[in-house]
Amino acid sequence: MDASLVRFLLRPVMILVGTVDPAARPEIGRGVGSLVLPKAGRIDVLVSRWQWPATIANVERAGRAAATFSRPADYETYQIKGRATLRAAGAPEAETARAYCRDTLAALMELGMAHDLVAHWQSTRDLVVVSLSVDEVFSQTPGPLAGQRIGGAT
Amino acid sequence: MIRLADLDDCFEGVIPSVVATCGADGLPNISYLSHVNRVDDDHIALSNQFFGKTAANLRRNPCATILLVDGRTGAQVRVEAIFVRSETEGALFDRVAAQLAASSAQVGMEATMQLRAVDVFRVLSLQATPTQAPVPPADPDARPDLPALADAVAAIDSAPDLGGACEASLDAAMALLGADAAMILMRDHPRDVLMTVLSRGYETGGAGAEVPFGIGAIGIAAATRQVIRVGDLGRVRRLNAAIEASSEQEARSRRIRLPGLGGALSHMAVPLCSGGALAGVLFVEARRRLAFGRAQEAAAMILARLLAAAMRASEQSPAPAAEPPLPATVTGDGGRILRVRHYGYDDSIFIDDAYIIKGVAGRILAFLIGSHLAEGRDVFSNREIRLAASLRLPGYRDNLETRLILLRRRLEEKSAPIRLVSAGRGQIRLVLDGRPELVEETPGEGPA
Repeated sequence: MDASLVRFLLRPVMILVGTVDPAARPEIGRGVGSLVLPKAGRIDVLVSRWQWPATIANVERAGRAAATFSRPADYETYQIKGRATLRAAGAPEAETARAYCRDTLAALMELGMAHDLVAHWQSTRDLVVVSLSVDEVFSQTPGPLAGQRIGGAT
Repeated sequence: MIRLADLDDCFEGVIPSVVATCGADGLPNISYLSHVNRVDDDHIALSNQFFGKTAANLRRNPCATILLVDGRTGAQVRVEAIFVRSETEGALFDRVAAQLAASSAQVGMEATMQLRAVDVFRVLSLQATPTQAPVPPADPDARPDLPALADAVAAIDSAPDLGGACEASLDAAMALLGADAAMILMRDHPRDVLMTVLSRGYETGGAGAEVPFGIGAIGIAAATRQVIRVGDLGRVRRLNAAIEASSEQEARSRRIRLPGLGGALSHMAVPLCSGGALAGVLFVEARRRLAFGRAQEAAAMILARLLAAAMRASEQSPAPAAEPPLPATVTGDGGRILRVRHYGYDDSIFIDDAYIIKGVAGRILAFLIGSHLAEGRDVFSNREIRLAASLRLPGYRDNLETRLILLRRRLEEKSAPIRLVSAGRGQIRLVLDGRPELVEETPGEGPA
């Protein structure tokens, strides 16, 4: 995780979490905030188990996940893949999720999105932490370099 | 149970959808999608611009999960799907490519967003994602009313002439499709250029304004013969919307500014095609997001086909026998001199230093004024203009009726002292507020 990627991840970016079930069927969930831990080589992504139960079940079973971070204004996007563990979210994580929802709502409203639309993507009910090791980092910004690996620990 | 047919607002490309796949290593891959299209009741198609990890994964494991987002409400639908095939040509590919080109041009990404393939999926299940968002008020049925469409079709079909058919089409665009502004553009043979003929709801009429093929929604619709819909223009406004037209600019550039609706959030460009030939484009705009959905597109295609057929028929119907020429009627101040200059190199016409029009329409106007001066009459049959056009107006191809409507409207919009009015079926009258003086400028000279 280089410094520019860390800076990018700290901004209000849209977060998706990808997982796979035992039958190799993929699943999609959304994150509502993250805690970037560059020294530990991890990123903790906050996810509503109530809204995305299959995603959380897959993390528990498979222990692996992918997450994308995308800036809505210009589509700059990165995907991080690695091993994933699960833990319950406490008060600090809930506060992080609240701040994330507020900041991304502001960023999306600046792009002309209505508040009621964004509310569908921002559940914080039954919040859990998907702790993802940054094993591989890929650029996914639309263009010829999309899909290229740009970093990671392994 | 959710059906694909109920999810039109998920296929507008307003809010990116998401696709997840599984790699050979068992790792998930997740990616945003610019466009998801409904193919039929059981299939959807994803645009594939980059042949990235998603495409590679699907060739090993065809299972995919797609998250669709309703562009109107934000609601999310989880789609379980199986990759079936990839298409690199054909009707579906062409439709998706044109739509992608138009929406990418809006955000300046047309270079990166070249369509490589359309990936077709069979849908196994559709499931609404749980949400904490407030339940939106029930959406009123926004589909165009079928009886009203039948009335509009009858009005276009029974119009006494092509001008009436164009006006009836604009009536329908505004009332039936819910547009805040609309215009009809004609193809200017033999150039790949469209010219505005008639419009509604704009501050300036813009008759004679040009759009090259391939530029913007109108130009892409003409070049690809596909309907182009954009449901959320967002912050990207059409550049010409805010800029006012000025006569000085017009005279200098010999270019008429294309009208634009300020604050437009939706637009749709519908090719006017009949018998495989492109006659022009119907363009509608609205200040609402997602104003033109699939149902509006279908209604617009019916109107467009009918109008295109009327344009074609007007070129083929035998003109009535020419009536005996009527005596010249000079209206207004008979003594005032109207300085008409005709520049042969581009057939531009200036009346009293105001730029009027160029090209074939300019040539026709010069012919009418020249004939008036030589023969002292002011009524002309479309048939003789057509005949003169083919004999004496080199480069002339067709669309005479539409060109005359355009020329007539342009003279009205300029409040020119020379105008065209209908003189009964198949005839037009030259109305002059003075005595014209036609000066044929030699090539290379510019306007004073």
